[in-house]
Amino acid sequence: MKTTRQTQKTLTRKKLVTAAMKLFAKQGIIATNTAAIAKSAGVSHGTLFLHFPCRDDIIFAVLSRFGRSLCTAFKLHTSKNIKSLKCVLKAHLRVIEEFEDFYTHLVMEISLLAPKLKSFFFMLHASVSYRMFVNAQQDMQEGKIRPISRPLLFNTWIALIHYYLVHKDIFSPKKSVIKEKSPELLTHFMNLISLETRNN
Amino acid sequence: MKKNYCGCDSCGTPVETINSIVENHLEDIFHYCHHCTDSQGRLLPFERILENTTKFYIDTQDLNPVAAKTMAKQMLLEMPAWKRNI
Repeated sequence: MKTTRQTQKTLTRKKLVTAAMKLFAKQGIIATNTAAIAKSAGVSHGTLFLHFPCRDDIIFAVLSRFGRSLCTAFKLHTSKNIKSLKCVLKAHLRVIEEFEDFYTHLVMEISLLAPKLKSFFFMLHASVSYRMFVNAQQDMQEGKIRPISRPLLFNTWIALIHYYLVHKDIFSPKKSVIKEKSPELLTHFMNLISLETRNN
Repeated sequence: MKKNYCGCDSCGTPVETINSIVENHLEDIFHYCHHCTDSQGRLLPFERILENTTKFYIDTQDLNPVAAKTMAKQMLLEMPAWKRNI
């Protein structure tokens, strides 16, 4: 059982991660400094460093929150009985939509962030790719989609999504591009890899 | 980096089934996926996990093998299971 002090510590940590995520989403990851995060969370600058000894640690914590949501979404929306690729793609889009502004900055700034953050970002991608392919195999066996390699299946999907995110200001100004475009993008991608469509 | 992630504490993967829960002398509870453990739930050696993680990057995203190994090492060394031990 947690003591009051431990509970307080956990709460402060959560507040800092939430504040960081909001600021990263609003003004970008590189443009956000630790003083602004501490101020937004209502704690002293020193307190932030007690929880996150360096700036990369708090970025890692926000990325981890994104990872946790992915994990939860895949568990909720893909079960042992439902092995359809479309379910995984829908779950993936749902999480990207939830984190859309932060995620868009992440995609645009990832090459400028610390190598360990980039490595973790690509590990999250690896996990999505893995899950996509597990479900795609079922569809391939049933002849619903054409055989396609695991990396190309994922890379084609993520390239499409990232293109719309990076240019969201011209596709869906001031709105969620994922919310607006996801039905169309999902249908397009499924048609692209579908054997049934190609045979028609 | 503190332990604040709910995925595998060895390789960072978020979507695998957790295979093993290990408490160490520091009273941290570590969660490991099935890629990082043997049949009895014991954590595999670092070199083996580095090899598996590198392969995971390559197989899932077609990364260059040298780049994949560098990234795998950078990431593993930040994970709770390896941060203090390597």
